[in-house]
Amino acid sequence: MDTALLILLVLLALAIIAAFWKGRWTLVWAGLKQTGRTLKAMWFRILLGMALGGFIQVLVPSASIAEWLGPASGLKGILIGSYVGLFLSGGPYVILPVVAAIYKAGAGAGPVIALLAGGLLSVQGLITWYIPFLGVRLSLAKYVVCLFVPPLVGLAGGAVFGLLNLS
Amino acid sequence: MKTEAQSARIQPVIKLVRRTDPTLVILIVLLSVAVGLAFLKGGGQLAWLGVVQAGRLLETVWLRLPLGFALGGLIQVLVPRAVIARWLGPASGVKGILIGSYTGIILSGAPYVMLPVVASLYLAGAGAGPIIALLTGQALLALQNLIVWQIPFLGVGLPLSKYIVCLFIVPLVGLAGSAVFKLLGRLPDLEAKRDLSASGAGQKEGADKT
Repeated sequence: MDTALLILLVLLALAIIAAFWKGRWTLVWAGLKQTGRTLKAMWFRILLGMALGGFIQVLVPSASIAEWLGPASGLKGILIGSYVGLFLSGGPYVILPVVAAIYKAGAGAGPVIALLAGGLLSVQGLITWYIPFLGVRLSLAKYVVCLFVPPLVGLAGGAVFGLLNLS
Repeated sequence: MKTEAQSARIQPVIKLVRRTDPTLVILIVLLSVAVGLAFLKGGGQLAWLGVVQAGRLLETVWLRLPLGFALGGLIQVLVPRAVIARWLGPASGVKGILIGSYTGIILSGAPYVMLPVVASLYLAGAGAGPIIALLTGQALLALQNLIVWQIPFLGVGLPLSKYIVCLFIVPLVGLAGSAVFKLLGRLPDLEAKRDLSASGAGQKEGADKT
């Protein structure tokens, strides 16, 4: 059994025990109903996201991905990964299948970690959600600082990945 | 007369467009473009290869995903949003930024659920630093995101490395964000927040509410 699946099973068992302890079967059932609602809302988008990931894998040759974002791409790969985030939009069901496809095609840990953190920079998120709810000043203050975050996370994350050796 | 008939004919189409989920439309358009490009580049064979790759991804995550969803559902019923609001409050300084950063670990939900909660904390008197730390923490440290999405799709090593680094970076973003917020004093703030800051009583009132 793979480690990711094992960790998920252990965490799920703990959450079920905590829910049962706090509110008996009523709370466990409420959690499962919440799960059903999320699945119902997402299943079709997830399938479309995976299909998109599959097509990106066959459309963008592995050699190009390795050149732009591969382990040997260094700082250039991390910067490309970081600022692709400016154009990222959609939920994790769109972004994760695409990122997983890029990773499988040969991208390095640092650029992929920068790409994940680059979601912070989504221009669509800033315009659609942050400015309407929090105003211009606060949203822009956060955005300006976050412009520097993905490259830092990519550089440090790549180093931590090497140290953990968990691939 | 002709215009009325035409508008009557397009009414159902307008209704359908309004009801359609924009994310779904964007996904369908992107997928259609990708399928079209695959056909142009390598005919049916490359398009089929794309479907096969998608199938491989599905094979990896089909069991992990529902487990992640179940865990996400249980976390949502175990940690009520009201408790999170009470923890964050109008705290200021480094303490507030640290609370904001690490509250992001348990805060989850779509932007339309989360941003109204964060905006209400801000209007109740929370500082810019803790709010920026909270928003960044939610984006980079949310456990639900790690468990439901990142581990199922990318395995353990990559998401965990990112998570460890972000544990240290998020409070720094809160601190730097607070300084940048002060520098951007000429930009418009939320109307209600500006009114509160104009009078010390308003700020105190906001603090008392939380």
